Amino acid sequence: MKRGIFASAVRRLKSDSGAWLLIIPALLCIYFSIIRPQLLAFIWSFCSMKGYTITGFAGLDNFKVVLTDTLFLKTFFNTLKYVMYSAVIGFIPPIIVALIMNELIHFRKIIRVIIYLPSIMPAVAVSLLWYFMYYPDQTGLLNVLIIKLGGNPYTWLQDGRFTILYIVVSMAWSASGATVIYYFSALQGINRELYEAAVMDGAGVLYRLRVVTLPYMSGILLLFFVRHLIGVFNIMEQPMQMTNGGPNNASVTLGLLNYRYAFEDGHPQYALALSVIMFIFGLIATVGYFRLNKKVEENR
Amino acid sequence: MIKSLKKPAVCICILSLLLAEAAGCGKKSEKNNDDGNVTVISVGDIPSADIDPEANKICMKRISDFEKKHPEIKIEPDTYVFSPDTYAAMAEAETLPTTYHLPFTQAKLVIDMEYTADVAGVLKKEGIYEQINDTILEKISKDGKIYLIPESCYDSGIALNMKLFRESDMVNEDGTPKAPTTWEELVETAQKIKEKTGKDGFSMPASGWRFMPVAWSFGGEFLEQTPDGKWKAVFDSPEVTEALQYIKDLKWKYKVLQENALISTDDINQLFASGETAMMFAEPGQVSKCTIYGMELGDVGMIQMPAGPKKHVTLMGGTYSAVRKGASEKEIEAVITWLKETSSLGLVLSDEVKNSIETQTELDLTSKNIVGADMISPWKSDNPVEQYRKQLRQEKANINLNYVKLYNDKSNIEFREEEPVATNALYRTLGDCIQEIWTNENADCAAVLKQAASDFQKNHLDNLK
Repeated sequence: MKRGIFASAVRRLKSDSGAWLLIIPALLCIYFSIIRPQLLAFIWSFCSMKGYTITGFAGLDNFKVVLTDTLFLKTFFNTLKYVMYSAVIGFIPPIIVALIMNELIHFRKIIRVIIYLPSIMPAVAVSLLWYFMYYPDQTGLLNVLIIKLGGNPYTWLQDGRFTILYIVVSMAWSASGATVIYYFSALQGINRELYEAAVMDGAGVLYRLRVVTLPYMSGILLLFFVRHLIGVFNIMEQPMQMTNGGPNNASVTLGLLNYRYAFEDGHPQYALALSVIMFIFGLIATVGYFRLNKKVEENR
Repeated sequence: MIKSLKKPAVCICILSLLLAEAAGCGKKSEKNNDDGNVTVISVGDIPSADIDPEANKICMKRISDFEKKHPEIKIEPDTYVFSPDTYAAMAEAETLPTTYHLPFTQAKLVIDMEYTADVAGVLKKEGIYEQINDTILEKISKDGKIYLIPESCYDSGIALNMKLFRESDMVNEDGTPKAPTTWEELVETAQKIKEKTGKDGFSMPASGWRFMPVAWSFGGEFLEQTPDGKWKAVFDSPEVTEALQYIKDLKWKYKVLQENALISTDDINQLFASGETAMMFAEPGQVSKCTIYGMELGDVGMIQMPAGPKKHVTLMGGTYSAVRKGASEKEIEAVITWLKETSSLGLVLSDEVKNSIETQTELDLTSKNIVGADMISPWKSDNPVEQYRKQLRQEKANINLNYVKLYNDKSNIEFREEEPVATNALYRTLGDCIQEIWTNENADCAAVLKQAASDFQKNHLDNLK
């Protein structure tokens, strides 16, 4: 019986060898750049290390160190804050902008270019730009405006209660251009006849939005939402550039904590353990993403 | 036709996979660049010809002269500059140059990771071992081995923007600045300058490294080793609390500090260079960086670290040379020969060493590094080489020597080294405390330090192996 299955597998492999040949380059790339590093990271997270050299098996010790770190919970909730703020600031405004763009008759192309411009700026440049806009003395751009309006300079990023919010605003500014274009192209794909029919039935703008636009867009919106959340969960560069996790760890994220373990403290094993923990969260979100994706595809 | 190609193609692909995997996960064999007659060593920190052509030219001439004198050694210039982000990965992949520099702050980490070669044998053979300052020797040794070579050493002090000092009439008749000698005087000086010029009197980043000498001068300590060899965080003491309260008062009570609590050292350099702040914690190397932002060398002043109520103490820093792990004995010898003729490792005042000191001074002048502020010797005593170096640099000084007189006076001050364990994490923890007291006027310094010491003990000291 077993021999039969094996023989059939070999036969299938032989008959599909052409297809296998074609996908081998892609498989190699995926293996070396994604699968192998993840497998090694998983295995090494159970090891004690000196630099990047394994010195023995550590069991769950690395996970214990990471999970009992007094910063872990704070960092985890900080990261969730980024995700939540981003879900509102980074998700809803692009929808509104795309809807407005869809209703525009004139200057559509030039507005599209202007909206996309922030997306072509490197993340580091965006962080620096906003860092100087948020500068807490009279030279910060936002404070210049406040002073012109008769107010007093505000501390912006130094106000630990809202540091994450301000960082998310800078991220949303940078990323929303591309998202707007995606939504806009989805809106362009909606059958115009549906709108014409709704108009003939006397539907106004808001009613058309409710009965035509949103039902058609719900699939892509949901997928973008989940992808957006997964992306923000791994955030590191922006808080590193703008506040380095400060003030007093008010904006530190799991990604930044990971960086500190690996590069500042010389404990890559803890960084790997934290990566595995983050990977599990990411995996849960990804499974949810694929389920949603399947549902969206089925509903089309 | 296609069918006949399938099998060989599949075989080639599988073979490639195996070869690539072997290359990816296998450790490189030890690189020995000596073929019997010529030993090849790569030397890091050589300025790039694209970025600094003048400095590159001087270095290349130095290499060419060295190779003419030592035909058995070939130098490969490398622009590698130490960076903690890439160091471990490069060390593991054995792509570091044979020798490179690294700062004192990273020494413990590098030694613990064992990514540098043991040079004890060659240093002993060359008679260098006995000359190394005891404090430094302790820092670079582990289990009887020596993993780093002292290159240069400095003490932290206060840099003064003399343009603001002159504008505030804060210069003595003999041309020296009316500079603070205690922390109280620093506040008074900063307040006077702020009053007269409207600029910040003093700037500092929320850095634990900068806070350490302040706390020591108030009588505080950070870590303590118990008889069983374990480490204990003791920086929740009244002395360290008093020092932190002083740092807090600079902002909230005396209002002499910059507004930004999250400011980086580089940002402070810009403020200092552009005359937006009058004083900052600095070493000669950091002040040199200010010339990038247009600082006039004639406006540079430096003084010793001010004294605290209990001690007059400062923090030592500096640069080590390292030899790549896996280097052969011949390569280590070649590196030592190179360093003896190009760095402070030349302990006998020969013509070559004189020439090397002159070239280094020329290189510093070309690169607009400040020349004239004295470093401290990493060696046991002030030997003739150090005296010649000091004399030459005073003669060729590109700054006003009166403005650095109080920094060059190294008497009556204690030099201390960094804490020996979890150093970077300690700096970060103290930095967090400073951020807290600078962003929250009502923060209680004692409570902040108590929480920080408890967390540091749990997160770092209890996990030391």
